[in-house]
Amino acid sequence: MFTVSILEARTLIRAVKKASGRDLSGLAMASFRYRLSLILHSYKLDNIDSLIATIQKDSDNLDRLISDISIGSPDMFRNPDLWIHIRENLLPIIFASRRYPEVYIPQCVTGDELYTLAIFLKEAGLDYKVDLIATCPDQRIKDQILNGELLNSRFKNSKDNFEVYNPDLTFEEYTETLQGKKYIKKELLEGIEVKIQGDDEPFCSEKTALVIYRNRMLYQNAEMQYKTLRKLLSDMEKGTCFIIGMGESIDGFGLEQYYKDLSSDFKIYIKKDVH
Amino acid sequence: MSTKALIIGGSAGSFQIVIRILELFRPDLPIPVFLCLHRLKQVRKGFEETLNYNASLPVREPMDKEYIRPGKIYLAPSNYHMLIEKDLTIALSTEATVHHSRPSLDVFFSSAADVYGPGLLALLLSGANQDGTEGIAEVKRNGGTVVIQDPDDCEISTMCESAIKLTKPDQILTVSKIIEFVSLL
Repeated sequence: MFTVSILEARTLIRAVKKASGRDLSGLAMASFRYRLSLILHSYKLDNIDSLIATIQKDSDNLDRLISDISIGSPDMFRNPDLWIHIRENLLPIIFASRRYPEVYIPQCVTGDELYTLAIFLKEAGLDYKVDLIATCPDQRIKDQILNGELLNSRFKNSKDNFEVYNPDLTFEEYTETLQGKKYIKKELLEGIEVKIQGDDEPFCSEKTALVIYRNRMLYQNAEMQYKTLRKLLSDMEKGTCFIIGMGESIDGFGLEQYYKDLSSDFKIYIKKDVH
Repeated sequence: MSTKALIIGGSAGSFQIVIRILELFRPDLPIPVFLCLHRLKQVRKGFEETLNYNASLPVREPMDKEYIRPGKIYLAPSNYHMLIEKDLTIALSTEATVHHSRPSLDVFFSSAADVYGPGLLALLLSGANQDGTEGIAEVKRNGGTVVIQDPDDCEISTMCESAIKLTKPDQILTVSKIIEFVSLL
């Protein structure tokens, strides 16, 4: 399962940088090597050198590799208890100080978190509009997100999660099937903005009430995590809330003066007023 | 080669054995212990607490990037794969399920085998699918020691039978022998 060594992984990182300018050196190594091992197996290649040869030969292969290396949120309504907690306890706090609130979901690879938010906000029945903005690394992923297709592999988990979140409704109320494929209903995607995010672009705007950044830092090494977290906190205004994954931690980076717990059990934080 | 880490994997039928094993560790246990057990993905609360009820050392779900320490018992969190980095930190991930499982024994055992090599002791318990088969093979390939619960003694034998089919374990033990074995660590 771990057929790719650290040395080989680093060789690939250099090759990708040379071929595309994309810097993968901030990736967490263990999970990266695991994914590379799976990729070699699925591409039917024997070693990293063969993989490098394919990306050097054809830029489509490089795009495919980048896409396969990237990990999205695994399904919609992941941790349904988190969404129940937000619905029942935190909505007024999150949106209290924003006149035209936005929710930002940076670095999307799939649309699952975005679709979750769209359904969540529709169900919340707020008497004000909330803008949903996602960022993603490239046009191909942007098109996929806006296409709204729900892959079969993730549909069941998403459905199970949703029905824990709201046992009174079925997940199918928000999905439709077209030519045998399942999609999130088009109406839920209306008004959603998906931007392509460069490395130095902000994680949110001054209107952002909530940033959802769950399970993205898992794939970064500690150095990249620190950079990301510092940027995220610097981009947020006082009072902006943010959520990370249940398995992630932001303690120990020396940035504690910039945030406080809103709900430590669910990894929800709020940016503090910093002078 | 002395044991550097103990990893325990199981699924259906393993819970009661794990509970008994957790009562055995002495306070000065010189190695870390990792539990990778199949569990319900939507239920975050209760599992860790139940394992802790009679455990001689605290069992806890680690955070991503947490340093691994001897004498600690780490439980793979629900709905995450658990891996180990070469610098002996925990790495969590949300990659696709393996054998419908996340955490997956195959992923975790392979990662632990890669890091601990011959210093790894792997224990595979009762379970209802084939997750763990590839991981146990990796432990063996990397020079680690493999102990598998006797399929005839398992509540559900699929997992152990499948692993034994691919890999010759160092020992096949009944629950009572497993308890004896672990108490000597």
